Amino acid sequence: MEKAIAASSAQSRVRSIVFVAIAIALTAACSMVTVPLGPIPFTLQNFAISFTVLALKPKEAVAAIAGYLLLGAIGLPVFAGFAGGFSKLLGPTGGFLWGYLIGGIIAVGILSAVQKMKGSKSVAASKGTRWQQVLLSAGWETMAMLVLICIIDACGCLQYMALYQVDFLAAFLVCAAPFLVVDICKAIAAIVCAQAVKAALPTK
Amino acid sequence: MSFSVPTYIPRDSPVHRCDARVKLGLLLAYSITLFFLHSWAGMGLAAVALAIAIAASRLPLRPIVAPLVPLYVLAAITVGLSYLNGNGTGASGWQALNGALLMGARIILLAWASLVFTYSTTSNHLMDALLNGNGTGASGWQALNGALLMGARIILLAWASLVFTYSTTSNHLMDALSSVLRPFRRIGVPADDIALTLSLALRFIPLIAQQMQLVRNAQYSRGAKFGEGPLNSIKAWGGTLIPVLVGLFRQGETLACAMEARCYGAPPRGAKFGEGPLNSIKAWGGTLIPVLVGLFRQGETLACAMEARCYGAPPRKRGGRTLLNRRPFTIGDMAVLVAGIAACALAAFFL
Repeated sequence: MEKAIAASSAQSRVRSIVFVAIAIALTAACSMVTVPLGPIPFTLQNFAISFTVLALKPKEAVAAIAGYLLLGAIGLPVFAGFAGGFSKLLGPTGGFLWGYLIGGIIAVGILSAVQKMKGSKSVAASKGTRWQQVLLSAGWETMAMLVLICIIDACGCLQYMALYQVDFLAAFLVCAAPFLVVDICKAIAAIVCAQAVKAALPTK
Repeated sequence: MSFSVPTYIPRDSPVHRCDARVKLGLLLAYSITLFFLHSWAGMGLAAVALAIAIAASRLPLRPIVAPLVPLYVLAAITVGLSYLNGNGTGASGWQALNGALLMGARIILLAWASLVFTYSTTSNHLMDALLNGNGTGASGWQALNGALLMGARIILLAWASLVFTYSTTSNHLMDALSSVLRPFRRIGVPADDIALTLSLALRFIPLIAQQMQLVRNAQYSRGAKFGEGPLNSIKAWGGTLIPVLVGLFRQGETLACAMEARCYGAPPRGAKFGEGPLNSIKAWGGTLIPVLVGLFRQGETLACAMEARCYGAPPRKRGGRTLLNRRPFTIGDMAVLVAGIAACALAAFFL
């Protein structure tokens, strides 16, 4: 009995390691590729981050984002445009990278809090139809994604402001405004993809 | 512009034989030093140091220089724009006459800047300069000089990190990371797990890139002119959007069929070919979901295989993982590392 428990915990650890690794690699690969939709081409970096937050377990998601930043910080070319290195984190767009971690932690916190709340509720009264439950969960996820986008953009703008000595509006116009709509589209795509992956994995 | 991911290139050279920890430390020192260098003497020295490293590594130049083409274009635009802006602040006679011309150039450059925004920080600098008119308020020569330095810094750093990537196997990198993190194990940091996770991630990047390459090939086979200059590439992206999306959609369908045959339910997709952002988003969804699901399945398989090989079994001796040929940190390694960091510190201090 004890052996079985030990084995299953080891397996979940291996699964965590592999999933975190996949999430890191996915983020890196998405950062290297640009996709043109409409007038502004963008990388799928934000998509990968949102997907990581939604699809993995809370600790795994934070570990994946931190690992991605670590890989980039030690100089491997995993950031957008084959960039890497510590100076990228300190550069004008570095705030977005830090923002991934901070926003990721907060979004994961929101999601897990909602999960706990819903878990205790659904035991008490699971009267709502399945559709309502799905809608509710997607609603919370959408909110978490919006919070994530806001934090990422805020961090990015703050660092840009600090480096170039411009006011917040100018920083916002340059850094965040052109990409807001696309970012929201990416977040929605991430929600859909994450739900598909969760549905396909029986143990999740 | 074929999509390629930097991976190890085997060569027999001092750089390849060098301990990965030393290389890692030197790369970190190099990147921080570049940040502090503000003169051309310093930048020249850094470039010479990098050139020596490349020569010693016997790596072919093409894989180092080729992947960064968008970066070069961007650096060139930034320099040109800074020059224009610098002259603009002067408000001399000929400048006023050419104002309209400049405005046109700015608009074109702004469009271009938004196209290449995602590639680097220099475009940020560029858009800032465009919106604020005067840029940072420096004179023409200073602006040009600053822009050139910034471009040089970014390009040198990118080259250096590519040299590191090409000359280090992921095994060596994993061992280096693991040994760097070893002291933290005492305070409960799972050093081996972190090292394994990161090195697995490095292994997975080419795998995902392969999936994405499939997508790109579908686009290429439909006549998109990638790799014929940046302008052509952008045109190719724009002009062949619809066939590209159809290709993606079909591929997504194929993948989805394969997934469905294995009993996975993907969310329903409207089977409508056509134009417009909505359909293209659907097409991307159709591609991404099966790819992601497939990846996670592969991850599970790998996890099972690793478990079968006793990964994470209760540790018998120190550490749960067998390390292949663990390298001791020799005096020579230490000497190289210390010398490199000292050189970097001196350069950062004096230049």
